[in-house]
Amino acid sequence: MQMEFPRNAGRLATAFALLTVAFVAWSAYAIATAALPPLAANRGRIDAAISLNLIISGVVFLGAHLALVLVLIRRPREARIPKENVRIEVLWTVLTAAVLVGLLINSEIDARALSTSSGGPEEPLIVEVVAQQFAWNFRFPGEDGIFGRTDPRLVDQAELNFIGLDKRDPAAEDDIVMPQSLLILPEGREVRIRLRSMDVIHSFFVASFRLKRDAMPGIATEFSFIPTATGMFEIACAEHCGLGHYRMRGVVEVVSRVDWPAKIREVTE
Amino acid sequence: MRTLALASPSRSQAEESALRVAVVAALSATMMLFASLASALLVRRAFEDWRPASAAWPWILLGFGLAASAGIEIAARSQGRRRVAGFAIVGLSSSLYLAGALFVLGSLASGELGLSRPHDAFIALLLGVHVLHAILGTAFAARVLRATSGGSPESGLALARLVTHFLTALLVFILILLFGLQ
Amino acid sequence: MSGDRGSQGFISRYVFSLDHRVIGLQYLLTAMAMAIVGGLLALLVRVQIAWPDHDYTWISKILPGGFDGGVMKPEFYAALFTMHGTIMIFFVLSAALIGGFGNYLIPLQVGARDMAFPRLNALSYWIYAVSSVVILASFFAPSGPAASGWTAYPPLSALKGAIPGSNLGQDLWLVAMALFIVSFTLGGLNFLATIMAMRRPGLSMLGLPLFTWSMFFVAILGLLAFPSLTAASIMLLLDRHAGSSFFLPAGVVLSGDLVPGGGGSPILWQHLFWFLGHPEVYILMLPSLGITSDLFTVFTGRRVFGYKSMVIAMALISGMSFLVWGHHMFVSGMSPFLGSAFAITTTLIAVPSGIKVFNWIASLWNRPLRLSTPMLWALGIFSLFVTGGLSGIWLGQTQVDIQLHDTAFVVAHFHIIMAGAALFGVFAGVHYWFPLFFGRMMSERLGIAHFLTTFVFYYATFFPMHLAGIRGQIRRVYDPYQYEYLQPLAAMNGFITWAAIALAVSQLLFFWNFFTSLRGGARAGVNPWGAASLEWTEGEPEGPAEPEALNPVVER
Repeated sequence: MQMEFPRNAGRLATAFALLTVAFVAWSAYAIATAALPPLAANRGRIDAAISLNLIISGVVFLGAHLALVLVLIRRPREARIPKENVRIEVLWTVLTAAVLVGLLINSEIDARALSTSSGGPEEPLIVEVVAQQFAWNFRFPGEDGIFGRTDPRLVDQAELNFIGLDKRDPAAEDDIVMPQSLLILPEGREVRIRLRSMDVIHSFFVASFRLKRDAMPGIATEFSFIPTATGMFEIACAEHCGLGHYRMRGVVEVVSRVDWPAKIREVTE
Repeated sequence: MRTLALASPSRSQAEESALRVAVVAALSATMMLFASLASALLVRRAFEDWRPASAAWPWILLGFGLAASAGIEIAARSQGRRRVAGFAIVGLSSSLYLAGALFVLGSLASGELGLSRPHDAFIALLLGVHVLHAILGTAFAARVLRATSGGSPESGLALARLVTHFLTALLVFILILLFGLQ
Repeated sequence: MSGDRGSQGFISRYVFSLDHRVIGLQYLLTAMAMAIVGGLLALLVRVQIAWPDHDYTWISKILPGGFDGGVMKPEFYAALFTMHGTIMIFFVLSAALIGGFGNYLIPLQVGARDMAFPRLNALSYWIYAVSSVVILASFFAPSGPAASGWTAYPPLSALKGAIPGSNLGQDLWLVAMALFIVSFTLGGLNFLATIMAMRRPGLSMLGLPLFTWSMFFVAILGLLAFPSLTAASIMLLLDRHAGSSFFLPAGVVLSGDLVPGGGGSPILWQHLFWFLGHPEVYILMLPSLGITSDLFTVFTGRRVFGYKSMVIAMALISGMSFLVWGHHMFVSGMSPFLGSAFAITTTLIAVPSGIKVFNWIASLWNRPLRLSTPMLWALGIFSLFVTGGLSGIWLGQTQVDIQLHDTAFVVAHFHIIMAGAALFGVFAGVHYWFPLFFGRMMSERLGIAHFLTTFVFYYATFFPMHLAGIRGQIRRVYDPYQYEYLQPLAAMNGFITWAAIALAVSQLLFFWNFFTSLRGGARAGVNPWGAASLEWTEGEPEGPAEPEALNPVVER
């Protein structure tokens, strides 16, 4: 029984090649126009890492597909099998490993740099972020620098006490509780966030800051950053948390350091 | 190429070997299951609300488990009536173990606090999963002993022995995890 | 006994058959049916993301529970992506590649009469069939289908009030998964026993096709990894129904009310889940890798380059897959030291994958190619493996992952590498082994058309999705345009959805080809592709094998 092979494999390959090139060109253009939101924090190393990965991936992607296209175009009649060449196998294994290890080392350097606090003379501004279904709660510890006690039994949604702040605790008196889902920060000052959740797992994600951390119930995690631009930046919840996950939007408003205290007073009075 | 079909009433070597592979694979999977449960326990017992209770029943169940292992050893190392006695010990011990374990599980579940205390929850979890495997293992051992009794009983007995000792070792493991750690 | 076909009733020949070939086809056909369900769910998800205000009046007549006056309910959307993922990963891809191809081909490729334990084999299938019914039953739970994602993270999945689907729907999900795991475990035992102990005398492991090797590794992975999910699922069931707190921390406040009990750890679930979850994606990948290598062998007429290093690469990938699970949890707040450790293992697992890619290129270079449909699919797998593997490297770096975790970038990555390569493997396998299964050839014309449209629309759907992720489009989002910074993505999401619709429509070509070729396809000879592996030397399918009979000893 005769098999029918496609006679136009060469045309197939050329079409494939053109499509690939078109795709890559379009992607490059799209990347330029739909890329990362403008950076607004001191975490530009992530942008650099993304660019590095983009270049390396692009080279490998194009290289592998070029090889594929060449294979399809060349189509020799007879096989010319090279002799078993251990050297070349070792070479390409080592090359792959070297590139990967390079990326890894770069990432680890970034990790150290991004997680150490700026070490400047100024005290970081401490903010507690408490996620809930489906809003963000923010508070500052106030003058005493101590957060007032919270107790889940004191949660009273009608009284707008979403985090169960114990008003009788003296440390709670000067706590500054922001309106839900609005955080106002001063530009250029290190912020240390203490993040947790009231109920299920959420995730605090500010694309403009290149910042993301899961908000766990029962555990608080901490991380720091410095906002480097003024403006309004959206917070998205990045962990499926229920039917309101899509509308768990918050806003970080970064204002100049001079304006910050007044802005806070404005919204909390 | 000529092919010869060999007919024989006894299991072929290939099928015996296949059964051994399957049993080892199944026991490996079971080990991974208990490793997962054990890792959960080891993490949980570091939390401040871990209050292990002491009781007598672990020793009783342990006794039944060891008796079952002893029984299968007797059966493996002897013939005739002693072998039958060995099987009887295994059967009796397994039944007593199952009855006892189910009783412990039942009283935990129906107790006032239920499984709200973490130590109780892990007892229910580990013992319950062990009971399930003990039932499967005993059923398997019985089946493989019956299936091989006509032809080569030693291979079936070897597997039954492996499964029994494995179940006993697992029981020791979980009892140590639950009651033997400081 | 085997020659007496007439005496076997329809039921024992086609329904409760012990014949591995019938069982294999049962798996394949059930998987195909589940694929239609899974695919439709995906379409609904895509339509909602692209056009959140879409009016679904026409669908709400069929599924009234999910819609409110023509508008999709958010909890239904959550159920859609939950069930899509669960069904596709387990009930379609695992079932088709491993239950379907594995069962049919392993005995043939190792030269055995049937699987080591035919009755257990039949039991595996029927447990899978029941589990499929149970997972579909979740759709009919009064409070809604399971909706906590295929990953089912507690407390969302543990607390009944956290989302509507976390009532009976979630329980049905857990039961279906438990049954599926039992089925897969029994199958894994059979596979290992058959491959290791029932090979035709004289056939060594290193003489086996790479597909058989992939089944060997898949069986080991499944047996050692699934128990972790079993453990977690039992603990979740106890948390849901027996008042325990394995995963529930203290002080949870749901809708203003304090949830009693607590002291557990939600992150424990994540560790246990991903300890299975990561090997699971390699379980889905390996069969396609094996199939690709074997097809390269057949359609270039020479053995794949570096057969031994391909086996070693598969072994390394399998072993290392147990060491990378934490990369799913980089932003969970785990210690930086752990994060680094997992980043190292994740990056290194790309090395054996790279070896495979180079070996494949070497397998194609300077060799004549026969571009039949199965070979086209194999080349497609090559392409997807490269692309998907590359995006995985991004995600394996902890800092880049901060930006991309839980965004559309991840969705693009796993759809290309896991779903895509696995799906292409199913198509490759069906086209290739169709003459073996049914004695006929599928149409080349339809096959090429199906391949080209699927390949183009697959990339059209998932390639732009990387960009949406880089932009910051979060996953599992019912309406992305609640966020101003995502509104510019509206056109791109629309494009992706249209591509997905085109992709779905293209699959009609496959179903048409499959079903018309069953009766009307050109009759195939014994070995239409000119392959050298044993499944092609069996001749026309015979009657069912005797379960208790010996393997014949072959004498030359």
